[in-house]
Amino acid sequence: MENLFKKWKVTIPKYDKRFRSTIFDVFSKKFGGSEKTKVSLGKHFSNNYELYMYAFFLGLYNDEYIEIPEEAELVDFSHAIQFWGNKSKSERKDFSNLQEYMFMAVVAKTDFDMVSLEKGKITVVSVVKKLRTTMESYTNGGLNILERQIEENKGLVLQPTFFLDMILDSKIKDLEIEELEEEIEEDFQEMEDLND
Amino acid sequence: MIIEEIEIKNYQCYFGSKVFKFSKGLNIILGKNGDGKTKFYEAIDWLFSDGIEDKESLFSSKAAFNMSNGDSEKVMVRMTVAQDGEKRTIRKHFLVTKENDELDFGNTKLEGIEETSSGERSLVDGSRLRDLIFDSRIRQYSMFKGESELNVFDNKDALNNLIDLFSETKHLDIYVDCVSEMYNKADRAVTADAKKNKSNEKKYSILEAEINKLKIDESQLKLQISNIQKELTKLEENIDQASSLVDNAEKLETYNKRISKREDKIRDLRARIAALESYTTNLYDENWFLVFFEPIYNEFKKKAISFSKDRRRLMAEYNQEIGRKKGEEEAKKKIMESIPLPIGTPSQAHMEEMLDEELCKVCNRPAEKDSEAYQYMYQRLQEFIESQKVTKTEDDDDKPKKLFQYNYTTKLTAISDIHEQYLHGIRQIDIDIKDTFDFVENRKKDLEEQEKELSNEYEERSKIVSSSSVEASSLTNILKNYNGFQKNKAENKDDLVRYEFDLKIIRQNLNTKQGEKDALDNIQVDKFLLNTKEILGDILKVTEQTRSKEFNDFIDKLEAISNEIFKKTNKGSFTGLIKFYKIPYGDEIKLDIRLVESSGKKFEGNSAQVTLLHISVLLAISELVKEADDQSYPMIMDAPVSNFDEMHSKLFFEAMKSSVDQSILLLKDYVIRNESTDQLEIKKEFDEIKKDKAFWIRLDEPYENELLHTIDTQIIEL
Amino acid sequence: MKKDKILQKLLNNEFLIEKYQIKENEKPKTYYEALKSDVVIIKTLAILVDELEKSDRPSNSAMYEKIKQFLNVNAL
Repeated sequence: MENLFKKWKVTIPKYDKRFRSTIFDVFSKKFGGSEKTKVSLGKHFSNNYELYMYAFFLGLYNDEYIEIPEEAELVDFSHAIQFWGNKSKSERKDFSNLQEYMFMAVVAKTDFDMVSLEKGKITVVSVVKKLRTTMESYTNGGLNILERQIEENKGLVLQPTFFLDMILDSKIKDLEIEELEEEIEEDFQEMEDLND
Repeated sequence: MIIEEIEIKNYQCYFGSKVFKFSKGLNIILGKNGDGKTKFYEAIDWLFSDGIEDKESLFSSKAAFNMSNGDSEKVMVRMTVAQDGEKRTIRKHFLVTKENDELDFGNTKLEGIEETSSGERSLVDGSRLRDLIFDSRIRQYSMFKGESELNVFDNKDALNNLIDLFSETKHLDIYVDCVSEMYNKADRAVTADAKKNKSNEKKYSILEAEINKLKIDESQLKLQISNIQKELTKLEENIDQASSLVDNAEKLETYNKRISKREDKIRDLRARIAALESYTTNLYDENWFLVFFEPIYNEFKKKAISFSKDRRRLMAEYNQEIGRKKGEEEAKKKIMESIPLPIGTPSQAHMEEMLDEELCKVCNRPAEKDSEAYQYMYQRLQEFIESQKVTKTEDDDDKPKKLFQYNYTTKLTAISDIHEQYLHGIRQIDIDIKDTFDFVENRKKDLEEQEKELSNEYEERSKIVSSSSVEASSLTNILKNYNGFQKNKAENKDDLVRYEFDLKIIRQNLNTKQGEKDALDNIQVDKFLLNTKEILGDILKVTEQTRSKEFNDFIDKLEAISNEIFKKTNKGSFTGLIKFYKIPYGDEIKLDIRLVESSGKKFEGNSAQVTLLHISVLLAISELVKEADDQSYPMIMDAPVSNFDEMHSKLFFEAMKSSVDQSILLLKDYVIRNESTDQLEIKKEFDEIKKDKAFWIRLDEPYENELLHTIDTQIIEL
Repeated sequence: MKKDKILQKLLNNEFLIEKYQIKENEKPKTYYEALKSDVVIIKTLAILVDELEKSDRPSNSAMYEKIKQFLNVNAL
């Protein structure tokens, strides 16, 4: 059995360079150090990948899928997804479990031909590439939202709840979860019927 | 002694001869500042002093102005008193003559005239008579130029002077000195005689040596004790000074402690809140990102299921195809039109079990042998077993190709299955976030309260600081010093106790040794010498004790009389007492006069009270003078009533009238200028004062300040 | 008069009264009276006062001799 998750998490996603100075440099402390220093520097994020994750979820929950323009310069931070969230500091917890959730999200949101993949007609690399595009696009969307928000609410950025609030205000909160649950019920029933 | 007349002639602003005729009792001289009150006082001063003077400045300018060549004028101050049944006059004067447009000043003369009741007059030595009339030491307590001079005991020697003047204490010094010396002589005579006896010579010498050593030790200890006493006195003064501030300082200390505690609490709360408010970090560490993940998960699950479904469907179709290709026998296999359950469910073991029991455990219906259901299960089992066999034996060209090379689906569905159970946790996140916010909210409320309390406490503290005349840091210093003083005082007291104990021991030893010596003396010394020594010893004790008693009696008396007068003048207001504290200061005694409350506690008193304190003491002194010298002396002073209210002024004048036989008071307060008439007037209230005589000195108008020759003070008897 | 005053003060001393058992009626009122007293110490005191109050008072040594002489004469 093959593991798509494994194949995906060894990759390093990229982002549009233009966000480097406006967001990444401003809000994240690039290289390790204690949590205290992070606070004293006025940084909310201990490192770049945290900020990346944040932008991803922000874009995801707001359904803000914006592909990175072709002409944009891409940069990454040389840190594969599989390392994200590993407990490195004593002051923090391990949140590497979030990798799997991000994986689930990109799989859910990516259209790819699983049949072809399993038949060997398309390479796993191509699928992973698609998954990556999904991730990068949602992240890009998230970064756009972030940029806008900061522009509009410059003074509030230093509030401790600023980033959390943005997540909590995402469009997805209004979505009818029940709708989806119903759908799944239907599918289950189908399966039951077939098995009788 | 009563002053009957004072004549001032050509002295400064007094042009010509100006005579004040005083009566017994209260005499008041009114005058605006600058009109001659001070000069009056100075004139008397001049009369009672000697020394080089600037005669030209003393000579009345007006008089000088009016002189022509060949004229002569006298500058004189004269005082006539009634004393000891006689009329006594002293006058001080010098002559001024004008010659060739220049003034010439003669020698100053001091003359005394005594006049008996029968009218006999005789010229006497002016100096001597002057001292007789008004001794300078007594003047010290009788004449005061201003309010500031009233605190007579500010001067260290004032007390000693007083004692010398009015009690026998000083006089008894002569006795004590004399008798001490005599006693020592007698003692030496006894010792000398005792030594003549050879039998006890050694013993005696030893005793003598021991006694001498003890005496040296004794005097050393006494010195140490006296030093400590001085130290303690100083400390007490310092402590007194600080203690009024210490009340505040202690309060300050309390508040400082309270504030510091609260600041710690606040710091704590802030830290906790900060820790809780790491909201952004919680997105990761507490998985708060997943708060809305459920629908996404459901999407994923849906997809995973659909992948699985598709895969199985295709597998089934594919197998169907292969089945068809394999021919009829294969077709005979009951190919279900429905999508078969994936291979492997139920397991082979299960299948065999079900066949054995002739029961389908999937639908829970009996499957007897040879029944349709049984057949079905049997075939499925066979199929399965077949499928397990690796078809190595199959022909290569017949070998069917695998539909799917890879299987990614299974893992995906596995992920989906696992996370099904985590959904519960995800649903909890919403609540966790809310709880955190609530908790933080509450802590913030706590913080607000604490900060409110703190600001109150800051306010209270600054009130304390501002109510004292010293800044907060000084207050803290004062508290530190105060504690230091108290500690010092305690240590010194301990030392004192020790020394005094040691002294006691030494004195005991001394007594013992003396006793032994006396015993020996009694045996071997001439009775007469012993007797002389004893009597002189007793007399020494008597004179010493009498001297002490004199001193203490005098102080007690002074205190009692002061309080009597004080009560009278303070009628109706503050009920307190004057207390005289005798403070040992080495070999001397220092006198400290304070106001105390009825409880005995010392307190400061306002300026009016302090003035009354001093006046009361002075009046008491004058009473003692009267008693001791058998005559009283007049009080001449600037009345210090500027700080008094009307009632107190009244009481003050009454006290002066009743306590002294004669007083001459100078006042400025009752002269005003009428705005409409532009004339000087006396206030109506002046009439209410019970006085015996009143004068008003004022400059003769018109006058010009620059033109001294126009200045002439008039005396108006009221 | 001063002599009387001083003597009175001396004679009022508690120690003296106790040791020598001087009764009130025995106490002389003037120094002149005291000079004639039978009680040695009273007389001694009177001599002391008499001499020391003179304007040309004797020196301490001279005083000593005087007292010695007196006590000699009135030897116990």
